Amino acid sequence: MKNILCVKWGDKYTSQHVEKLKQQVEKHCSYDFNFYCLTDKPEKEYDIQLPTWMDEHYIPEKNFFWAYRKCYMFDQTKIFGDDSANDEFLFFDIDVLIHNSIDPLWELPMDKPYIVRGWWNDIKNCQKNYGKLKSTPLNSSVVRWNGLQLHRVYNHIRKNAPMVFFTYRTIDNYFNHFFYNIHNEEESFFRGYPKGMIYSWYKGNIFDEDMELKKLRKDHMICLFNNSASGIDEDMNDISEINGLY
Amino acid sequence: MDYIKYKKYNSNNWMRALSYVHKEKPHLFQRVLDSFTESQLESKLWLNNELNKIQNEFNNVVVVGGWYCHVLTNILIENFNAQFVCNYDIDIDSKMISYKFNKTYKDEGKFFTSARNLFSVYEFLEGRHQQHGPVDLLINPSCEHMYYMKDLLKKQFKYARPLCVLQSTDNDEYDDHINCVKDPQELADQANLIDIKYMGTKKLSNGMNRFMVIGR
Repeated sequence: MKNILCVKWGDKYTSQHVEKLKQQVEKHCSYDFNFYCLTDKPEKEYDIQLPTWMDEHYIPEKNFFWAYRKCYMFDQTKIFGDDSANDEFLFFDIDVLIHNSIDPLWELPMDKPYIVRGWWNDIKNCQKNYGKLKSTPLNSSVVRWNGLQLHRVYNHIRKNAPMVFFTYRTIDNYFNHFFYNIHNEEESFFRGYPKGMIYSWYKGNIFDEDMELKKLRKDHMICLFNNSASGIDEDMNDISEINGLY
Repeated sequence: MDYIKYKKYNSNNWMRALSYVHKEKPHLFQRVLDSFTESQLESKLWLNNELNKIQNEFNNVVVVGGWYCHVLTNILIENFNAQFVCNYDIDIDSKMISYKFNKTYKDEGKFFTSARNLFSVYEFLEGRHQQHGPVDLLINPSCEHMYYMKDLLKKQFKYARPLCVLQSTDNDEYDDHINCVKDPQELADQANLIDIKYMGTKKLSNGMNRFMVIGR
């Protein structure tokens, strides 16, 4: 079975935001799928209660941008039941704009799970800053996996939680250090989606080739708006150019 | 001692390492230059002098977060007659560049570098330490960049702790200084050191306070 997921907590997003994401995936996915939202405040029939055990490791002054609640979904048999061990999963951040069919995401070779490789990053800058715990080339706004592929990530966090939460400011920096090889993606646990599929509203598309910011690229599949770690707290729904595209 | 024993082979290795980075990894060149500042050298010479008062020979050494590890490896091998030094640094570029700087020591089997993260429950000390008996010295010259050392020591040295030399700072103006301490006592506490041989503070030429503790 195919499952499309999002995670919502706190007050930044409302159930309307989740509904908008649901409408987008219904419009752009021709396969049958279940839609779920893992949330701290279940309201709708597709909502699932978020666990809370990671809260004890959360350090507000260090982990302000750490979207650790996403990691609960990697413990999928606990969240979705034992039968989900053979299911297919696709996670979206709530603040994404889907331009075109997402069917190709279900048709990827799944020898590895997928995460957004931000092609807008200068990889040499990412390499230079690797030891400084910043400039990750990864973005977990769209994650695709099959079966238990990401259970290893969940277990790693569970067993190393105090160190992981203390050390990393964002989940994407953590993924970069433990589940990606910044020098050779072929050796990585995660694989990045190909160039030209996903771009960033705030950061561009492909480094050195197409880096214009705040530009829609309607021939691409998905536009990301996540930029909270840079201090921009704009809601994508407040951008007039975007609003009419839902 | 306010100098290192810069031998002919050091000169050859260091020149080639700098030339390699300049040509093949120019985006890292400034980082490499940063590793040669006066304050970097001051910290390592301080370590050399205080450690030498406690013990003047070591066999099997773990360096955690040693970065390019040029000066420190030189000190350990030339001054303390270390037979094996392994630098653990998660940055693969640092690993490769530290090999360039320490090529002669590497060729002699005295230097190795590993990208393993020793804080992870899934990663362990390199097996080649075992060829040299128990690890008798652990140095972390950059505790401000990582989690509490007691966590690493508990995971990697369950039964017998080596002598530990730890350095850190109270300077929190850099994003990657994720674990600053207020004084050397806090640094010792973070490692659960109970048998403390040395504890001190040094004002470096760049104005930064450097703390160092030596103990088990």
